[in-house]
Order: sequence, then structure tokens, then C-alpha cells
Amino acid sequence: MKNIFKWGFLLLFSSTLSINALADDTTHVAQMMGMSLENLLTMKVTSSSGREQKLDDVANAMYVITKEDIERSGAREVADLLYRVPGLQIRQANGHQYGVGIREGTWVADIVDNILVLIDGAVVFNPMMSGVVWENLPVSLNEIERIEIIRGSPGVLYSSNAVNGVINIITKAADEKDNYVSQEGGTQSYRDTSIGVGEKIGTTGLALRAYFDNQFDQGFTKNTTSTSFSDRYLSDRDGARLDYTPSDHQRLSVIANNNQVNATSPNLISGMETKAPGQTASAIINYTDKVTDVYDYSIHFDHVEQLATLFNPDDVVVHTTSASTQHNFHYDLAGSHVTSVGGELRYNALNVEESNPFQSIATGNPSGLVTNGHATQKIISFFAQDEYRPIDKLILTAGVREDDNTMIIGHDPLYSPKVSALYHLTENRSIWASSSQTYRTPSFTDHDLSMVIVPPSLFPPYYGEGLTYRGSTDLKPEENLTQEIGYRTLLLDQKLKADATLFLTDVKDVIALNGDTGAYSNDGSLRDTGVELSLNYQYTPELSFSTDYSYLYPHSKPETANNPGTLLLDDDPSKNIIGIGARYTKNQLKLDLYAKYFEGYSFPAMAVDPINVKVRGYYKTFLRISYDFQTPNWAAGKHDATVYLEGNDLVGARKIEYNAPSGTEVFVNPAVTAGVKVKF
Amino acid sequence: MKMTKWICILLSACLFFSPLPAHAGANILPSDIFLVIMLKALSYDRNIDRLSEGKIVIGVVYINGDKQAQDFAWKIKDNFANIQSQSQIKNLPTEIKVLSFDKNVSRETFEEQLQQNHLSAVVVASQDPGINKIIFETTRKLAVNSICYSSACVEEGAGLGIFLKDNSPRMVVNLQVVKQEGSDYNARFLALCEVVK
Repeated sequence: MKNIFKWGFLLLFSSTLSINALADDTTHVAQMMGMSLENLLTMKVTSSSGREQKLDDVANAMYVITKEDIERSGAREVADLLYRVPGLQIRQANGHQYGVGIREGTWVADIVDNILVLIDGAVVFNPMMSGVVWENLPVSLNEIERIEIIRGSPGVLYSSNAVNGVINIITKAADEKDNYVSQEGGTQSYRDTSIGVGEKIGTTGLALRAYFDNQFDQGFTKNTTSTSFSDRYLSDRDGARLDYTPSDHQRLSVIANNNQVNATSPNLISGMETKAPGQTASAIINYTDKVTDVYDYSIHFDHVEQLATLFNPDDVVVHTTSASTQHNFHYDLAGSHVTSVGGELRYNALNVEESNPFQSIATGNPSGLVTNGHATQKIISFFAQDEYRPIDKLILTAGVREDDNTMIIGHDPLYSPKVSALYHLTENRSIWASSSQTYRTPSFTDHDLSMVIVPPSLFPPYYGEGLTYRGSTDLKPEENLTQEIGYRTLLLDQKLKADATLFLTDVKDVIALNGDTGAYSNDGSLRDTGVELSLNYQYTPELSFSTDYSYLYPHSKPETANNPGTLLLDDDPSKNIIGIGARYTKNQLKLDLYAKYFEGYSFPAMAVDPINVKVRGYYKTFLRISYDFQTPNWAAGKHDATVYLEGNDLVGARKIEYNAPSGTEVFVNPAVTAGVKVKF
Repeated sequence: MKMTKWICILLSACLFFSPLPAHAGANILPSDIFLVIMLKALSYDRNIDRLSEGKIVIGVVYINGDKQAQDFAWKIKDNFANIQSQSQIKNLPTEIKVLSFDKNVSRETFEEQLQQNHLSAVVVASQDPGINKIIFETTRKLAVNSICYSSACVEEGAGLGIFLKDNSPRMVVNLQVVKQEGSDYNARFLALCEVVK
């Protein structure tokens, strides 16, 4: 009977959750006066439901990276952009591999499994380990319209796995007047060639856009016995989209993206290079219709294929297919309401090549053993939420999401409720609070796979049974209960914008690898507490300063502490992140500075060797200077152009040496980039 | 599965009972965003200060009886009051005036009001093609910038439209009209707009 309801529901709406921005970058008038016209024209002023929803009305810790921010960031990769977001922890393991975490108190690898990453509504985390292979993301920096980041539970409208936050990447529409060609070159043999073109087709309502981006760098990690680097990266990103706007209220987008990566990564044993190609391709269909002033809806479909390397090139193949829908109803009943309901169906399939165990150990090129490498997962979700505004100053939101996941024992449904309240104390001050319960279901690695990466005979010092990962079908989902309080204000003649969030997260039934047994199990509980602060001061229309600070303290509960085999605990748990930046614009000249210091986090290279590297803090710095000009009157006419020089890690460059298993040097070299971009 | 059932029932009920009136087509920006974009756009006009007499005056015009337009006009003025200290155009003092007219306003009356108030720009908060025609003919005659809040009114004769499309602010410029109004926008500004020649 229940299946009839489920399928009836899905058939009724045949579709996807449109997970676009929940809230957007509408700031106060005074703050907007500090923005450039270009930036103003690229900001979103409505939510995915078609409603205007100011950032000040959102009961979430939210941050938006705009197109102008991206252009002025000096970033080479998407993950580089995220350094600027308050409270995000970024680790660059080598030349191209990153880990990105939100409020992660217990991080044992570069794989973070509690955040949801979306590109145009398509879920792009890899369900094999529920983490994100950032270097394989099928998106080019030049094609990103904006990125919305929510720290903490985002609410019931977002797909499952959105436990600690959401990173929502939205690309440029086909009818954007934003054609460009750019060329960059720099240290580490870095080069990037990128072109993007969009064009409306007459008055048909159709628009087409296509892009191509070729990128290479040689990386910075090498074995002490080698003269060459072991983390080279070559990527070809391309894509196309068709947007059809038959009327002011309807929009259909068909999007295809691809990223073909030919990379090498440091070998765990030898430190020498290992081929690590990968590819991610996605096909997305989004449809939105603001039918009336009281009803709008969206439908989404996507299929994502990911090829990755575990032991042998392209030995991991993941297929993800999703369909979802969201319907919003606007009405008045003792105040104004927006009620949203919808559902989602997601199907994941994993195929991992069952490698020949240790076939090449003798040659120093070990391959691991994988068994049970074929698994599937089906998730059916429903959600309902009401945003209620009894008076202008007060917004109350309550909702619940139900997820039926075939990886859960007995297929019992999981209910994830969230309630929040936001109150505008004055025009320039607001306070908000929220409470939510979410679940992280096991990944394929947690649940199905058995992997012996390094046998005990070769590497006894690591773990009791060598380096093994053994999944368990008996796992319960991690239960995450989050409480947040936030405060936003404008001070000093509205020139200073301040944002603060306090949070407390309790995690039960933590899914963790037990070092003694090499198996995943539900192992105790954790508590993370912390604070996130950010300030932005518009000193003059040309000059602004920003700073952010976040503090995180992970507590362990006794049952976890009593299990010394569980690889969860850090010996010095408190963590601090401090960022400081400045932005200057004078006529055609633009100058940007940003620096971030991570204290309490092991050095990123721990992704290569989690045990022996114990650097407790690291810097990341960005510097960019650019000059806008008009090109000479070429055959195609004059065009706006920008030349720029970027210097990243000019402060904070260092060399890390460690000896296990053999000498490997990880450099963080100053990365200097020069580039030119012509818009047409 | 009780939850699922209730969600289905709720959703079905909502769909069944929800009215499906005419399409919502109001693509008007919130007044605060419109204001900021308008001020920044005007600062790109090299000739904006030609009628200024040391002060830039922007008139927001609505037609009596149009409640939506009236609210929009006054919200612009109210928002402007909050940022007046940081919203100079070309380093000149800037003022916003709200002007209301009857629907049967004559061309002469409108022209007289524009001249009396020494307006450098007129924001037209009206979607009445007949009224708009009179206003835009007058702004062209007096070389005053005309700005409206929809793309349609640019086709009716406004120089600059600032409106909402695909959830983002958009600008459309009628090059011929802005030239007649005496404006001179630079290429960088025009690159941000949809241009009607």
C-alpha cells in the first residue's frame, strides 16, 4: 500500500526538487550601494520558489559568492573560492586534490561526507564515499554565476546528505550576455585556456551556450628520490546548455557538462606518481513555472556519471539518476504563508573493479583488493514545509522530510524535521534560531565495499590489519541534531555589516572506521560546538575590508573515548580559522587581498599520510591586481578586456617533508598567474 | 508511512483547491534594488549633470489611483532617504521627488512640472501605454533621462528599463532614445545592458 502512495505521488508530479538558491544575495540598500553595477546585475533576488527572499530573512548561516567575487578571487579551482567563506575548512592535499568541510570536528581524511554539493541542482558528490571529488567537478570557474553556501542543516527542501551544509553551484544561463575568451599562465607550469559563448536565437525564446576550458599544472608533490612531481593535473572541461523561455513565467533548461581529467597522484607507498584519471559527466533538465501569484513549481531531472581511480585507472564507475519536484503555494491565513511540498527519487549504482590483490607489490606498484564492488541504492523522499509570517517582523518555518533509503536496515523511513524562527528587531538588526534533525546514510564504502589497500605484512605500523576498509550492512544512519542561533546587524552608519552564528551539533551512531578491526561501525557519539563571525566594512565606495573568525570545539562522548580503535579523535581538538581581506576599486584598477589561517587542523598532506604529518596550522593567501581596458578596434570591434596578475601563497609557502613510507616532499609553492580575459 | 499519506492528501488537496488565475507577470524589481541600480546607472551617464544647476533631481512619477505604482514611488523615496549621504551622482547633491498626475494629464501640464522641478531624470512608475507615451515624448523633448521598471516600456519609448527577469535584475537601453534625451553612456555600461537600437 505504501508503495502505491509513493509512486502515485511521484507520478502525480513526475519530477525533481529544484534546489536552487534558498535565499539570495539581496542585501540592505546601503550595502548594495557598495556593490558594483555589474555585481548588482548578477545577484539573485528571489528564491527558487519565485519569491523574493532577502538574505536578512533567511534563518540559516548563509554566504553567497557572486560572479564578481569569482572573477576577483585569484582562484584556480572551485575549492580555492571556498577559502573565503567564513567557517569553511579547506585542505589542499596536493596540486589538485582538495577536501572541503563545514563544521567538521573529526576529520580523518580528505573525504568529507556530510555536505551536499550541487551543480544546477544535480547532486555531484560521489556516493561511493559520499564525498566530493573536487578536481573532477564538471564546471569551469568562468561559467559559474554564483555559489551559495549554507553552513549547518539547510532545511527539508534540500536533498538527503545535506547534514552539515550545502554548496550550491549555479552556472550562467544561456541568455547571459557574458561571452569571453581567456588565457592564463603561471608557475608550476600552469596554463588555462577558456572560452564561453551564449547567444539568443532571435525572438524564439531559445538561447544556446557552450564553453570549453583546458587546464594543466604540474603540481608540487614529489618523492625525494625523484626529480619530477607526482601530482600533475590536466583537465578538459566542456559543456553546453539550451534555455527556452516561452514566457515571462516559464523556463526550461537542458544542461550537459563534462570534465575529463588526466591526473597523477602520489602513491601511498612509494610517493612516486600513480595515474589517477577521472571523469564526471552530467545531464540536467530543469523546468520552472510561476503559474500564478499563488502557485509555482519546478521539476528537475539529472543523470551524473563519475569515473574515478581507486587502484587502477577508471576502476570506479558511479551512476546517479535523480528526479524531483517542488511546489510552492502562497496564501494568507492569519498572516502570510508559503507552503512547499514535493518529492525526490534518487538511484545510485556503483561498480568497482574487483582488483587482483597486491598483484604488483613486488614491483613497487601495489594494487589493492576490492570485493563486493557492485551495489545499488534507491532513495525516495517527500517533504513539506510552511513558512509563516504572522507579522512583518517575524518569520516562522517548520517542515519535515521523509527519506526511504534501501541502505537503511529494514528500509525504515527516516524523518528529518526542522523548525526555525527569525525576528527583525529593527530595520538593521535581526536574530534567528533553528533546530533540525538530519541523517547521513552510509556510503557504499561504509556499507558494501571491502577494500584492502595496504596489507599488514607490508605496512604493520598503520593499523592492526594493515590499511583496510570493510563495509558493514548492519550500519544505522548517523543521526545529527543541530541547534543554531544567529544575529545580523548593520552598524556605523550602515557601513559595517556583522554576522554571527553559534551552533551546537550532536551526532549519534557515528559511522567510523575502527582501526583495530578495519571495519566500519556505529561507534558512539560526538558533540561539536562553535561560533562563526564575519564583518564587512565599506570604508569608502572604493575600499572595503572584511574579516571572519570561526571556532570549533569537538567533544567526544565517553563511549567513543572508550573505544581507542575508532579513528575519530584528534589529540588537540579545538580549531580556529581566521580570515582577513581587502578590496579596492578605482576606475579600471582592482586590487584584492585575502589571507586565511587554519589553526588546529592537520596539514593537508594528511590525506596522503594521515598519521605522520602533525603540522597544526597553515596559511592560504590570495593577491590579485587587475586593470580593465578596451581592446583596440579589431575587425570584430572594440571589446572590454581585463589583464591581471595573481599571487597565491606568496605568504605561507613552505615545504613539508615526512618519511613514511618513503621520503616525500610536499611543497606549497608561491603560485603566480598572469592572465587576460576579453569579453565580447 | 502515515506521514507519506498525509503529505499526499495535503498536496492533492492544495492542487485541487488552488485557484489558477491568469499568469503572474509582474517582473518589477523590489524598490530598494531598483533604486540602487538606477543611481549607479545614472552615474554612468556623462551628461547627467547637463540640467543639474548644481543639483541632480530625480522625479518618480505615478498616476493617481495606481496603488502599486504609488507604493513603489514612495518606497524609492524612503529608501533614498536612508542612503542620501552616500548616494551622490557625479559628486552633486541628489534629490528624489515623488510626482503624481491624474490619468488625463495633458502633455503641457507634464512638461511644465518637469521644468518647474528641474528634473534630470524621470522614473516612470506606470504601465499605462497611453500615459507613458505622453511622458516619454516629453522627456525626449526636454532632454531628460527616462527610466522605467519594465522591458515593455522601453519599447514604448523609455530610454532605460530596469526590471526583473529570471530572478535577476536586468537593464535594457534604447540607444536611439537615450541619444535623443542627451545621455551618453560609456561602452562598459552598455555591455551590461540589453541594447535596443
